[in-house]
Amino acid sequence: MTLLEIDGVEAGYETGQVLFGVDIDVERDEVVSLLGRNGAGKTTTMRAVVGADVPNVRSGSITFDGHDLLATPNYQIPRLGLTIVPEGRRCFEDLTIEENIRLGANHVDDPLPMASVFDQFPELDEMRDRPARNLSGGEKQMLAIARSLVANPQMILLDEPCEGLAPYIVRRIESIIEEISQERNVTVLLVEQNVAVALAVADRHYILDEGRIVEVVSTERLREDETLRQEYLGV
Amino acid sequence: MDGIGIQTLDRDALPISPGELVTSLVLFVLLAHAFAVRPGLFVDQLVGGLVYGLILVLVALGLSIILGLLGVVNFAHGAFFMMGAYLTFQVLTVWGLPFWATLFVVPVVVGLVGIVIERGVLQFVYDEDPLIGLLATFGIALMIDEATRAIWGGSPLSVTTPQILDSSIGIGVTTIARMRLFSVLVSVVVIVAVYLLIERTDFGLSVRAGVLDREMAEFVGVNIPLRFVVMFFIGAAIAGLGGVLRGAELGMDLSMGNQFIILAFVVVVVGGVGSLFGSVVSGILIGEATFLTPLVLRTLSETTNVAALNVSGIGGLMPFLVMIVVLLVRPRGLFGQEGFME
Repeated sequence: MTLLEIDGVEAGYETGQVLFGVDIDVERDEVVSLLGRNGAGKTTTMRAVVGADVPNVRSGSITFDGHDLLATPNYQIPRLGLTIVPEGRRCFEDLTIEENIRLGANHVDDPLPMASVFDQFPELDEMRDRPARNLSGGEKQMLAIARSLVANPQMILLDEPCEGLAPYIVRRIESIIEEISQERNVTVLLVEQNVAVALAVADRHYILDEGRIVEVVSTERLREDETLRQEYLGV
Repeated sequence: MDGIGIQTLDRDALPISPGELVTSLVLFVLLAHAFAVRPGLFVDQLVGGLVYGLILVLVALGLSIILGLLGVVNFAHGAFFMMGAYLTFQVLTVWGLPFWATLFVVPVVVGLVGIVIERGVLQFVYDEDPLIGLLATFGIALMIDEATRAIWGGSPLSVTTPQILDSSIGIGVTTIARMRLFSVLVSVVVIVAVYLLIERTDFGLSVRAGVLDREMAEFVGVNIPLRFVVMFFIGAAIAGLGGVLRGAELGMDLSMGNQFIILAFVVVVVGGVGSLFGSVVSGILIGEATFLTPLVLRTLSETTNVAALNVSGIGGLMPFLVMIVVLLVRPRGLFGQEGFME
């Protein structure tokens, strides 16, 4: 059953159009990755889904669990069960870890208990009164995921969660994605430049190039088709 | 003006240098000298400065909240203060309601006017250059000024306060008017309430998040437009309450809005833009500097026989002198993390 359906979306900024008819379907309980080079339109796609002021979506439709997201104010989207871990983490730096997570829980109808989230992120539990600005990059990423997860969403959008992180933290993020997918049945749409991460956690892969979906491939094919990876991902 | 945050006390923001220590000691000696020479007048001025400073804080708090959350330099905020004072006259003298009613009715009415202005004008300028918001609110301030003149006339007005607030309390060296103590009490209650609302409630948490990163706050489900309306209501209502207290004690005139908005800007800049704690410290500092400096210089002039020390009108200059000194030493204000309009 399709949970998120992006259909023919054209979107862009004042400087020009970025997405040219993007189609993405994500089934319930899947982990799907959206891959592409810098500037391909991955983050623009994510921002269009969560109703950011920019980009401006000019045509197409985005439906989540039967709801038209383009007609929904962005602050109501978490209530529908869709949350985002944005590019750059964007933790509220002056707020404590606990306050950041509480914010994720406060504005939905059926949040997870805080204790359940801290059980999943014991490294955050130990310093819950510390301001986010004092955290390392990996800790901030975990906080951003915890803030998103506490809303008890049906689906999480993860935008470059492993960007700039040490390999052992990347492995921890991979295991978190597997846990939230398999144990909590959360559907995941993952944007990554690190193909190894996408190969490790995702079931299917959309490849975006210059604002267009050029391939939808299985993990097996992405792993084996070196020509495809070279042409669109440069790896 | 991204990044302006409502923050409270940051202990690392105010280390004391040797120069500041010496300055503090000199100030302490001067104040102690003034107190020893004229204790009664000193306490009078101390209380007067506290009342004046706290009313400045009430105006500056709303200004700081609106600047921090909405990114708008609200020039109409002084007009809310003046409107509060004139509505006190309306409620007491024209409608004949008791004084205590003004403490609730006036802030609510001024807050509702604030909502009309926020929804009717300001929501359309949030994403524009800050100058557009400044000009829009300046225009609104002029409209409120002229409407006030049309409704209540251009002459100063005054009201009668309840008998219980008319008398004074003796404290040995002098007497203090009960109205002044009442103003201090109400101001402190409001300041503490605002602090608790911002720092200790989930609503305040969502407001602080909106100040730090408006878009991300919306992504976690915070209804930011609703927060804007509520905080604008609170900011305008607090300024209106400041107008009630000022109007009840000293009456109301058309210049009070412009006079206080300039001083409130000084308070916000000296305290540090976006810092509520900074606004409280700065407001009291400026109030006391305004009231105590003339007395300190006068007693020093009498003791040393140097007539030039008794500078006429120095009190009115003090807010600006304090601002110059603070900005020279701390360009971001006492507790600010961002420069004004940075």
